[in-house]
Amino acid sequence: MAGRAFTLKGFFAAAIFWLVVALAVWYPVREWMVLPAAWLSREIMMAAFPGWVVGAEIGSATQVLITRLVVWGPGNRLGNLAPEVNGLVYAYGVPLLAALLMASRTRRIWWKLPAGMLALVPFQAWGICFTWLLQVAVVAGGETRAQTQLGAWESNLIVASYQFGFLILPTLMPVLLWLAFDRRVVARAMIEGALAA
Amino acid sequence: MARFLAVFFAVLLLLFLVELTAPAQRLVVVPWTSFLAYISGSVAGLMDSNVLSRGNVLQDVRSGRGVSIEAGCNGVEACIMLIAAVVAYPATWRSKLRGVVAGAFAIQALNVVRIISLFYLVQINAAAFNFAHLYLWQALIMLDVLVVWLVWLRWVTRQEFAVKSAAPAGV
Repeated sequence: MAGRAFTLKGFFAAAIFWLVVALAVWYPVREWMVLPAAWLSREIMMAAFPGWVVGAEIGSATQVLITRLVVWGPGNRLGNLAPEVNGLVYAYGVPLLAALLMASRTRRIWWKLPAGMLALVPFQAWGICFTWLLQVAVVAGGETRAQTQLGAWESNLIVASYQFGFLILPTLMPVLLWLAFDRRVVARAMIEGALAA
Repeated sequence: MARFLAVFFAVLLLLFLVELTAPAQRLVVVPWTSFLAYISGSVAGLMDSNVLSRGNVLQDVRSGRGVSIEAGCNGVEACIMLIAAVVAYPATWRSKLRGVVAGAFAIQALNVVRIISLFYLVQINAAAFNFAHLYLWQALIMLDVLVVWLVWLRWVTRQEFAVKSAAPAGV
């Protein structure tokens, strides 16, 4: 921002420009970018539900939870439930954070961007874990309830947590991280208002 | 900052949980989503007579292809985030109310643009639709929320300074 008159319109235009650039950079490597969150999700699920979680396949954009839960499959065959999730729907916060940092010309972006990407991982893992749990406890709840011991209260909590992780966290957390790293845009908006009075 | 974050998350969680309840869905979210489809269909209909809105679906009568406006696409969560950010900032309730009303209108106006653009993208290219739907527009709507909040912040500061400078000096 230094050396150029700050305007909100200019910031918005720069943020859109950098968002397009960041998405263009992120998209070809998106399946790699989701791996840390997928790995963390697998570890959390294995630690939280050792009785029925075996592991997870995290090789691509789609993460598959491997369970011991027995359910009826197509053709009336018994099999183990293996819920899938597209982890990418929780991972686009990285280009949004990068766009905001670039648009506000944040100082020392070289460490703030990697640190921000790392800080987003637990929130992406939140989304992945609760999408798996939603399929286990709600979608297939009728067949799995006796095996998981997850009751109605836990199912409601899983639904609310899934919705929060899907609808709020992926867009909110990059903005909050950006505000934590660089509050100059907020300060400049207030200065602009004060000067206009 | 700590007070702002505490109030922001408290209001955000409260409104979000209220939104998930069956009465809120029945009385607010579902009618609003249908209205949004109707508005989007009406705006698109000004240029294209083949656009049909039915419930929460916007459809092309020739190809049969269309978009269904679901949770996360109706701008309700974006408005909830804006309301939480406006309420958390110390300002008069009158200023907050103005910010929420004008801001929600700005967010929903952009959301109509999003729905119409996605409606036409799905007619053209499924991969481009998925990219725009899952990543690009999600981030753009959040940018809109942020900028609307910053514009409101600037306006509130201007109001406060205007009142202070107009007030007689104390003795």
